[in-house]
Amino acid sequence: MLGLGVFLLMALTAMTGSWLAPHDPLEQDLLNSFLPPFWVAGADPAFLLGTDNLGRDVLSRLIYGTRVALMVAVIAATLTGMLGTTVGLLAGFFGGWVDTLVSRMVDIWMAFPAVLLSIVLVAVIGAGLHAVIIAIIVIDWTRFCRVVRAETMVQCQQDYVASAVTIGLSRRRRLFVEILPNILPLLISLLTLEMGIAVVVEAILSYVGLSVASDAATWGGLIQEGRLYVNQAPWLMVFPIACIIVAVLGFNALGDGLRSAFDPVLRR
Amino acid sequence: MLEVTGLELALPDLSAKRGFARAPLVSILRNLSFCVNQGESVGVVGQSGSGKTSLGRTLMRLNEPTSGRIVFDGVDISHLQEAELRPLRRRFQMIFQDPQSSLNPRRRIGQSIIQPLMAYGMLTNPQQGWQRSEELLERVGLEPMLSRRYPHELSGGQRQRVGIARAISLEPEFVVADEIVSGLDVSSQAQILRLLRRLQSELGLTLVFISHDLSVVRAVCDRVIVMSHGEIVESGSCAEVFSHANHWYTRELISAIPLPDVDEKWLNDIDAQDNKVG
Ligand SMILES: Nc1ncnc2c1ncn2[C@@H]1O[C@H](COP(=O)(O)OP(=O)(O)O)[C@@H](O)[C@H]1O
Ligand SMILES: [Mg+2]
Repeated sequence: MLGLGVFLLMALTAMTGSWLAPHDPLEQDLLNSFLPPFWVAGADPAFLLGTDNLGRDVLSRLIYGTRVALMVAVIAATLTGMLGTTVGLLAGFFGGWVDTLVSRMVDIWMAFPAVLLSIVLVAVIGAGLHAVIIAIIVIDWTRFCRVVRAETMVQCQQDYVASAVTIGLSRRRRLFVEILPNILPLLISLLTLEMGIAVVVEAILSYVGLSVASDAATWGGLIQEGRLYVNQAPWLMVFPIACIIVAVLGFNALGDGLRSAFDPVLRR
Repeated sequence: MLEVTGLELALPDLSAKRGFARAPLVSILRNLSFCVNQGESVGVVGQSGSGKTSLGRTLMRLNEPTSGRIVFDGVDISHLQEAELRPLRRRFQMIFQDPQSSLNPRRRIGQSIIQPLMAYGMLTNPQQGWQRSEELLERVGLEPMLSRRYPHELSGGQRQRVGIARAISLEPEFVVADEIVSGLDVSSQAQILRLLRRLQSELGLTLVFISHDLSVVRAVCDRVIVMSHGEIVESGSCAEVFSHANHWYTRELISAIPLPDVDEKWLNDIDAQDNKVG
C-alpha cells in the first residue's frame, strides 16, 4: 500500500524530526551558503540536499516542514470533515427547511473565491498555524457538506432505510447505524483528499507569508525563499515542491487503499 | 385484520419545488377502501406507476396518509406517532421490491436478518444471534453459511429470500410482499412463491401480495384488487375477476398474461415436476 507507506513515512519524519534532522533548521552558516545537493560537484556531504542563501541545511528544513504540513493536514482535514459531514448529514437526512437553509448557505459560500477568502481570513485572524487551520475549516467545510448531503439523500431513498423504519429504529439509530456506515467509504476519500488540499493551502499561505512565523521551516516558506534564487540554486524550490506533490499523491493513495481494504462492498 | 377506508396519499413533488416555497403535492392514491381478513392473501395488481408500492408503504406507515383511515387489528394507525407505532410495527412487516437496495450493503446477511430481533430486544447475546440467523436462513431455503456474507455476494433470488427471512424474523401477523418475484426467472419465481405459501400456512400470515403479473397473483391469492392511476378499478375473488372482469383495464391486464390459457394451478404443476426431479 503506497499511500500508507507515504503517510507513515511522513508521520515518522514529523515525530522524530528533531532527532532525524542533521542540523538545526535555523542554524545559519554564511560560509556554506548555496551548497548544492549531494550528487552535484562541490557538494558537502554534511548537507545532503544542499544549503540556502543563509547556509541553512535544506534537508533539515524540509524535515521540520513535514511536521507542520502533517499537523495541518490531519487537524484541518479532520475538523473540516467533522463540520461539513455533520451539516451535510443533517441536511440530507432531514430535508425540508434544514436542507434549504444549508443549501443556500453552501451556494453563498461557494460564490467567494477560496484562495482570496483564506488570505483575507488569515490576515484578519493573524498569521499562525491556528489561523491556517481555521481558514481551511471555514472555507472547505462546504466540500464535505455538498457531497455528504447528496450521498445521504441517495441512501435515504434506498429500501434498506425504509426497512429500518419498519423494525422501529429511531431516527438517530437510522442515521448513525444504517446511513453513516454507508457513507463512510466516501468520507475516507474526502478526508484524504482534504489532507492533500490542506497541505497545498498551508503552502500557499506560507508562500504569502501568512502561516507560521516567517523564519520557521515550512514547505511553502521554503518555496517562497527559494523563488528569489531560482536561477542560482533551483534545488531550493524543487525539493519542497516535490515534497508537496509526494504528500498530496500519498494522501490520495491512502484514501484509495483504506477504502479497498475496509469497504466490504469494494473488497471482493 | 386490516381495514382501509377512503385512503388518500399525496406526496410533495420535489421536481416542481422552487426556492423556499413548499413543493406542490401530487396525488398518488385516491380514495382506496378495502379490507384484508385474517389469514387471507390479497393480490394487488396494476401496471408500473399505478401506486402499488406507495400503497404498500402507506400500509406499513412509511408514508402518512393524507386522509382516510388504516385500521390494523382494531387500532387506527393512520396518524400514530413513531413512538406509538413502534410496538405495533413488529406485527406488520414488508418484503421490499428491490432486493438490491432492501438490504444494507455494508452489513452481513446474518446481522441483517436478526436486526429486527435485536431492535426489539428479543435477542441480546451475539452468539445466539448467529445461530438464530442460520435457523432463519434454513427456514427460507438458504445455506446457513451465507450468514457471514455481504449482500453483493448473493444472487437476486438469494437476496429476496434474505429479505423474506428478515421480514418473518419477528413472526409478524401481516406481511406486504412488494413485487418479490419480478426480477427473477420463472423457476426461481416458482420457488419463492412456494416458499411464501409454505411460510404463510406455517405462520398463519395475512398477506398483501403486490405484483404487476396477474398469473403470479392468481397462483398465490384468494382475492385480488386491481389498481390503475392510484385508484381501485376492480376487486373480488380471483375466480370472479378472471372469469368475468368488469373493467376494461382488468381485461387488458388479463390479456397481457403471456399464456392466459395456462391453468391457474401452474405453480402446483411446477411443484409436482420439481418433486419428481428431486
Ligand atoms: N416519494 C415520491 N414523491 C413523489 N411521487 C412519488 C413518490 N413515490 C412514488 N411517486 C409517484 O407515485 C406513482 C406511483 O408509484 P409507485 O407506487 O412506485 O407505483 P408502482 O409500485 O405501482 O409501480 C408514480 O407516478 C410515482 O412517480
Ligand atoms: Mg412498485
